[in-house]
Amino acid sequence: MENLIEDLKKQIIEELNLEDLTVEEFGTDELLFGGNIGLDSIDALELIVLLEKNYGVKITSKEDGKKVFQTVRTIAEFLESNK
Amino acid sequence: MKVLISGIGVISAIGSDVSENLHSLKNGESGVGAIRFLKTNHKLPACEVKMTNEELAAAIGLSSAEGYSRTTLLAMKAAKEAVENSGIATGSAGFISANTVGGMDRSELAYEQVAADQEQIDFSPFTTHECADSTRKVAAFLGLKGYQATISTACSSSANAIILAAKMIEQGMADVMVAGGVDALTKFTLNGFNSLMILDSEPCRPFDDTRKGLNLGEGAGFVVLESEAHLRKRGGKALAQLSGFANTNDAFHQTASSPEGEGAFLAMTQALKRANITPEDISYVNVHGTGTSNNDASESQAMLRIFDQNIPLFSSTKAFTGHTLGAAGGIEAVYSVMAIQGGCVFPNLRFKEAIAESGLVPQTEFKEGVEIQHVLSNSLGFGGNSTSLVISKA
Amino acid sequence: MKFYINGSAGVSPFLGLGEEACSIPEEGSRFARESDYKQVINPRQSRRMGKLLKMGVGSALVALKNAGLEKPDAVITGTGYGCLQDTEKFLGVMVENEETLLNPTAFILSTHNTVGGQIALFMGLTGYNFTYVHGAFSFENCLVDAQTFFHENPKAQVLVGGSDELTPTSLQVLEGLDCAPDQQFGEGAGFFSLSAEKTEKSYLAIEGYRVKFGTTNDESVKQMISDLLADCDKKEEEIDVVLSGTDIELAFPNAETIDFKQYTGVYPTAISGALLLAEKVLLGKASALIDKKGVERVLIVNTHSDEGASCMLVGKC
Repeated sequence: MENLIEDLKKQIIEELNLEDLTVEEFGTDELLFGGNIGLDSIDALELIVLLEKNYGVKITSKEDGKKVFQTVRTIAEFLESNK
Repeated sequence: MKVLISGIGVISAIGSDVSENLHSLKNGESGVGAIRFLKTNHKLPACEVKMTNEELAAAIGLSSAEGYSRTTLLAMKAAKEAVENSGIATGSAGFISANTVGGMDRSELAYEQVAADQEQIDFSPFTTHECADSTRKVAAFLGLKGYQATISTACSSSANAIILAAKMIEQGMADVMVAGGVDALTKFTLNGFNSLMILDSEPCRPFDDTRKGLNLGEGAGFVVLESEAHLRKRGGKALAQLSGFANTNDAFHQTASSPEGEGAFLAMTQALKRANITPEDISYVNVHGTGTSNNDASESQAMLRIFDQNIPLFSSTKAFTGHTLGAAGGIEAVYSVMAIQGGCVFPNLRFKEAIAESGLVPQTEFKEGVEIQHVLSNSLGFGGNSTSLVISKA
Repeated sequence: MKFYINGSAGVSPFLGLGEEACSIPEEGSRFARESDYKQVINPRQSRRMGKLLKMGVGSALVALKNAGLEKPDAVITGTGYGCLQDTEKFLGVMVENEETLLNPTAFILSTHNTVGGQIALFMGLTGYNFTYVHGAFSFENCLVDAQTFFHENPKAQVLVGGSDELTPTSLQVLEGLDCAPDQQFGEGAGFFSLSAEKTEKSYLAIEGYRVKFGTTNDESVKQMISDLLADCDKKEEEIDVVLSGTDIELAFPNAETIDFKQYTGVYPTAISGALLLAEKVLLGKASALIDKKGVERVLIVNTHSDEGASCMLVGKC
């Protein structure tokens, strides 16, 4: 789980070009949307592509995305439960 | 100075000219269907013009479609109809056109060779890539020798082309102009909108509570705009008057509209002001109504802010034509003129239940025998671009 | 119509963003000079931006800053090719992944009005916002629209700008099409904050311009220039420098004629780069490129044989 979390942080930073954020600073339970990380709806779509590309998991609606993409931990838990 | 509309021309999934479009709109015959011409792996419904490129070329008297983008062929067809309908002499007329992806229908195929790094690449299709290509070719084809411009402001492009032409006529910079826009269906836009997850896998349901997204379409729509003096002098006939317009920006998000519909609200308010009329004077609103959750909710709020509880008859004709992007404002301006001419309102197909938050109910049946004095036509797009036109009885 | 220039900025092979003086373009380089866009666009806002957006939005923000203007009344931008980098990126993935796993960002940013849209978004501008894409005359389209805007709003401040980018693929295509011009292909952005009335910030003026479409020849271009001089009530002798983007030989009694495309490179909105260059010449900041001193008036000429021609007179005010 810890490895998965670290991988996800790296991938999110790279895929969303969050140049000003490091893996160390990236809180596992920090809110991705609305908080300091400040992602927006375009990022949500990018996250859907990221999960499908890297983990073969398909999220088919924006509503499902909202539940999964709360924090890095919720994404990791979702991926674990979908293994 | 009054700006009059003296000619209209249209091609869309529901017909290759004005009379075919009117027939489909009257009879509730939608253009949504399985994709036939575009080569794509997607099994999404779309609104293709039911003619091949060669058929389009033949219809306008070209010996071959070779070397023309579908975009240009569609524009030639509709602009030719508008010019003929008006009866103007084209000589000094200007041409203001609009599109979003130029000749992408050819470029995206040629790009496959570039991506595959082939040794021999036929680069020639890229000559039709830029947005200006179709404008130049249509102007040359019809002998429109006046001022030229091409506008690309996403889904509001062709409504903005009409604005520029009207301003130039009002200010005496031109007497007569052909204005509107075009877009062909492409893999690029189909995949683009699909990646945004706003394409409905079923025929779209604008303004319905259960709407799931839009269907893409293709086509072209042009109007001939003339100064009153020019029209009188040549003894032409006015079909309608362009009495108001406005262009504003939502300044909210690159692709999404603000929850309160600020851009659309400002555009409608300013267009009414320019036409010197009040919201009660509007007989019919041809809404942007793409069928996406975001657009229809946002546009509903803007309408409520303008009209409060006295919502006029309104409908989205995108359930017939799909969202034709750069052509939408032009096609819907033509439909607005047709509504005035015919004293009718076109139905908003497949609507069942009002959006819970707004409760707005569009016109769902074709309605005849209505006195249409003023039509408000909305076009809203990416980049926050918001445009409203007021088209009135001449 | 006369436009006063109240602030400007741009990037080009001869100018970096925010630089005062022109430099000789690097040997063999076709690209705009490297600029530090982080100084003007914060990294969060620029994280998705490709080169065109950085050049265009960066130039726009600096031009407005130079004009001391927070909110222009209208934003009118021009681009011939639009956001090529993002267009290519999206096409590339579409072909490679056979229409699956496509990143939406590249598509969103590929639309031609992204530069104007992002300026509106960053600065909270809900006013008039147009984008022209009429090939080599996209920037001229912007000037005509600015004129119509000023006609209705004489006190307005309007931001106009042109931008185009060159990418490895677009270069491959342009060379493949064998439309290689005398000068190298190029790229750049030029943004100008204009007003129809003189303000305390006004330092130069576009004294007039003309544009015509369709086939051009020597005679029609020369006639167009005479008409422009007549519009502006100026004589041929009063032109000190001609920045020429035409093969037509132009000779004026007191003018030095320079092919501006050797500095801007060849691209659809190169005339916005020529306007930047004209400014620098008039302000005495172009000594690295042009010897002539004490320049009071510059004529810019742009022709494309089958498409049309334009000219612009720029001077001190």
